[in-house]
Amino acid sequence: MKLIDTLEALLFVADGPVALVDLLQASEGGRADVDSALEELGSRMSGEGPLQLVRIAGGYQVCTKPEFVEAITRFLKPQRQRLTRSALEVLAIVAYKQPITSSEIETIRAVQSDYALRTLVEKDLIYEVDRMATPGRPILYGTTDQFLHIFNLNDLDELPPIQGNPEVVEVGA
Amino acid sequence: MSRSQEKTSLAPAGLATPVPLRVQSATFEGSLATLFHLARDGRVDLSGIPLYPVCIAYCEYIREMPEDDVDAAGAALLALAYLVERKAWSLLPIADPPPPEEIAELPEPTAHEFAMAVDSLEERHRERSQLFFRQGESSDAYEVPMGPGSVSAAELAKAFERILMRAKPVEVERLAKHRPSLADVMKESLRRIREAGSATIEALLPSEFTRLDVVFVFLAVLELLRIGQVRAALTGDELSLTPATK
Repeated sequence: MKLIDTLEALLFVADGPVALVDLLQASEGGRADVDSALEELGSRMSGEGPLQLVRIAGGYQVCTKPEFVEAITRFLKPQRQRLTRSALEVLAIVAYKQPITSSEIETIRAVQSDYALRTLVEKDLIYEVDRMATPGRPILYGTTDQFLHIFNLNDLDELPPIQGNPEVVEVGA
Repeated sequence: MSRSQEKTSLAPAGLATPVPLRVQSATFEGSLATLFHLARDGRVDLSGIPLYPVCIAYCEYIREMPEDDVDAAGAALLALAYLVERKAWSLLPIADPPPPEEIAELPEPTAHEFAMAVDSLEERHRERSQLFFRQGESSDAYEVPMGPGSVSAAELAKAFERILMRAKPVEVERLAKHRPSLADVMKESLRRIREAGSATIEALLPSEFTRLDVVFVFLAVLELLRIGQVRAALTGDELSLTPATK
């Protein structure tokens, strides 16, 4: 049994991202062999067939290629839930500043953000990481793996750098 | 230290003008009365003026003063006590005044710094929506027991909603018999009265009745009388009800 086929089978039955450590354990392969097999599997799938191998939310997962989106959408009729711009803003602040409290978010935005936070918690995009050791023990929020998955991120390091204060640019000589 | 012949008197505010002692030091030269007034007004630094010699001079003055000049001695003692107290206070270390409170700056919204990040997330979300992943099979039959604290309130609420959606409640069976409304009792009573031509209240009751049935029938009769559908006539002790004629 080839390791590459074993890995493909594991990724086929998985209903979420599979961490490398789990692939190593299930396939009983060595680290170098599994890395190599995954690379080969990725290039093979990207070359032909409707599926591709992606690294997402800290693991490996098989998904369809973008060119099949129309047919799949007609078939599945997925209900897309869009986040509002304000919810996205709160989500971005949490993603970059986590762990962060509600009041700190409101300081950055200068508007109340309770509703957006509740929505994001309900959608499993952020969660209560901890409580701050200050009077009132405010909740510290952080992003979930679902956030990484929804936004096609493998880890938080893939977030683009945030914009700093705009520099003054002199026009003309 | 010397004495002069200044006259002792009481100031209008009750503060005594001290006895005619003359104070001479490196930083001050003048009468005890002047020193007292300057100290009282805070215009002299007492820390540079030794008061011990003044006290000695005062004691000498007491010894030599006429016996009848007690007021002057008392005024001088008061002035000296005042000076000593003021000097004592001036020698005490004074804590540094607290630093002025920093003016709290109003928080300026810095959310604009995240504008690019929001755009980037939107773009990534759009790209992600092009991908479809294998959906997990329902694990309802093999729900894994979760440890305390591993389930959030939102997850619990969602689970409860799912259970409610799946629930098929059996129809509730009433234990008590269905009770007709007052309108139903009125209709039934009026039908019986019209059929019989005349009826007593007892005749309107069902064959087996409870106290509540009696109350309902009585209220129905009262209501029928009020709206003019039946008429009541008392014959002896018997109340008979007849349909109202138009």
